[in-house]
Amino acid sequence: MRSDLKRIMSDLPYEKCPEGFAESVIRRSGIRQQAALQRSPSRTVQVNRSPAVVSALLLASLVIGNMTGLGPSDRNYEQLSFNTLTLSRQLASSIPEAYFQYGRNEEK
Amino acid sequence: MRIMDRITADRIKSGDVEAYEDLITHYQSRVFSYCLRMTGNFHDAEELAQDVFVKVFRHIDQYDSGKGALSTWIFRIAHNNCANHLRNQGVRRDKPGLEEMLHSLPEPGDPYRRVDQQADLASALAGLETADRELVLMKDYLDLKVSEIAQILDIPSGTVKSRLHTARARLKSLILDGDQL
Repeated sequence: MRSDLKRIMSDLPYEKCPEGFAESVIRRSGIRQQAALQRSPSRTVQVNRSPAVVSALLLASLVIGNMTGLGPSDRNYEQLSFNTLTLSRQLASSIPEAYFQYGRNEEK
Repeated sequence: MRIMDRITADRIKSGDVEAYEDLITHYQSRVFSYCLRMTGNFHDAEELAQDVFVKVFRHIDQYDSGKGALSTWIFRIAHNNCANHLRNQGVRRDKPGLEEMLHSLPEPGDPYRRVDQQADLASALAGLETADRELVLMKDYLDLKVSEIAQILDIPSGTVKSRLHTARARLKSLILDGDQL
């Protein structure tokens, strides 16, 4: 009896989804808008804020706040902080390369 | 498999429409069928199933591949959606309508006996209480493992087994009462 039940249950067909189901879900989810946002030049606002990034942002914000007099209520504050952080990273990553380059040149 | 689940989740998280569409296409029939057999209403099931996939996208960052398969996580959302819906509908709608349960039985051309058996089974399923019906559907219809069902319902595997045993016995008696199968 139980094996019959299981067999018939597993033979019971899955329902066909209504026409346009997937498209309707995609529209409702807003994934296309998110994808468009991530492709746009203003993607810098979509930052993955890990604790390290947040700490660095806060530090950069403090420095910028002191230098420019801008505060968190100013519209450009966060963008400015993020740009500073990006520049700092680029600068930091360029130092070892320059250093080793310098070392090689010296040996010659 | 979990690696693929994690890659899929990461792609969806990054706004990859194609990955999201693939996931919907892969699971839509099972999720919709589960919702339909739980609610017994075609339009409610469509709405609930759509909501499941919208939630998958909006909460994909909460999925942890270390804790379970993506499919288990998706069916957990489906279970919660149906449970909330049935709770809001009240006891009156607890048992779904037979007509909707029989919505897509095989086309004529299949052996008559099989169609009869499936119709009888759908009728008996409709007569089960919600908790029993969801267990039988998850195990025997969606073919989920006991461990997966335990994770979805947030109960121990042993409890799933004992409740499943009781649910099957109730289903069996409903079928025998109707002199079916």
